[in-house]
Amino acid sequence: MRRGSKLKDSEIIGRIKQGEAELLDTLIEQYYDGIYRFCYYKIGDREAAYDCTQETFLHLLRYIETYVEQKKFKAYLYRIAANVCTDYFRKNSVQTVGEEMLEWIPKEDTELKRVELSDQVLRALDCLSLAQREVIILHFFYDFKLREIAQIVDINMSTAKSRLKQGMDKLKRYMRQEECSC
Amino acid sequence: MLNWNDLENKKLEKEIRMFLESREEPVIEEERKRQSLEFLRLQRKSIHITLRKPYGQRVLEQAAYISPAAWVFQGLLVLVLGTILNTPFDMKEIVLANLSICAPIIGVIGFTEVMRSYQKNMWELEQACRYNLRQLAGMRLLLFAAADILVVAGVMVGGLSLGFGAEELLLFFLVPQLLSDSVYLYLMARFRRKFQGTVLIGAAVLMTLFWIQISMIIMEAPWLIYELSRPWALTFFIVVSATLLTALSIRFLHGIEKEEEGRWNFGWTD
Repeated sequence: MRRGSKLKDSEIIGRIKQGEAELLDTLIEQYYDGIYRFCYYKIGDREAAYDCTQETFLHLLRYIETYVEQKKFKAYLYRIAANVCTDYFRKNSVQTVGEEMLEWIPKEDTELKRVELSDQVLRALDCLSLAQREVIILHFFYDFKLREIAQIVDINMSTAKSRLKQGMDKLKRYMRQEECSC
Repeated sequence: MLNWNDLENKKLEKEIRMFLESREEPVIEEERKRQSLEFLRLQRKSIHITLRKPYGQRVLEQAAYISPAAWVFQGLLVLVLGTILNTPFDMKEIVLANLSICAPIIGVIGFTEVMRSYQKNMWELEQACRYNLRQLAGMRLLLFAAADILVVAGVMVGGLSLGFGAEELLLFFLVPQLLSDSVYLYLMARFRRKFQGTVLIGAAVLMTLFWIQISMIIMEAPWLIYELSRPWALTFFIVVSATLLTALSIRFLHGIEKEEEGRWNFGWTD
């Protein structure tokens, strides 16, 4: 078992700040997959997602010393990732996710109806604004609470709630083929 | 094609939720991940973590970085205040008015130092020191708060020994000081880096003129001193001004934190 793997994030951070810098490796390995997937869901490009993941952890390495534990470390890290992705969008003027997003398939679904639903949900997700998609991904894919989403995206709770609701409504409308602004 | 209009609204939402929660994760190439982790490990080896020090120790270390001129001015101000207090006692109102006029100047010394963090190149310095700019500003505010408390304590001790009432000293010295500092903090939070040098001095001059005006009004109606020095009125003034100062300090530090995040995440400039 890897050193520190049973420790809580706050304990790992505390020990890193006491000089055990090698525990950063544990932290990075622990969150690598999650951050990669988050970047991928946000950007929709595999290569860019790898780059943004690496950039996220480089930010973490540079600023770990100034990190003050006021909120969950996980939320702090995802906020960095969200900002790095936003930076990526700014630099590359990318506004929508790529075609690769359509490769997603549901895990345990063999019925035709479900496959069709999956395909439509994926296309519908592509129709959401970046802000709405981000909130939906954080909520459904990462089980973040609305309070944590608000911290990550740097918005207030009511905005997070309304983005989630608007995103879900838009998905529903799309499924009903009433609207698609793609 | 399925006719989604036939589905119940809630059922559709449930279907969407079910799909979102049971999606297949994108595949991560093991080789790519290994390379990335190796690169990050090398980067990690090049950083040096400074051991965490107790907050008090860090605040005291900050004192060494504060310009000696600031401490000299602070000392000179104490001398001036001592001289004012030693003015013959039959001119009590004038002494108290002079104390009010001096109160805003105390803040100018401290805030000039705090604002130095905003001068060009201080950001790089902060990065090189691997300290957080918000923490630095907070520590400096704390240091000057401690110095100002000492000055207030000195004025109180000196004034009481010379026969002034504690309520008069609090009303004419502590309250103007707290309110002046609140104004400076508000302007600092509002104008950020633009609030330097002449702007700060200009604000101090305006505050001084304001307190001269107030003192003149009070001197023309000495009964006001009695009314304003009543325990409930004095408590009200002190609580309101101290609360205002605390709230504005938090707002100022919070603003620095937001700005800091923007700087390193989005490369904000002035």
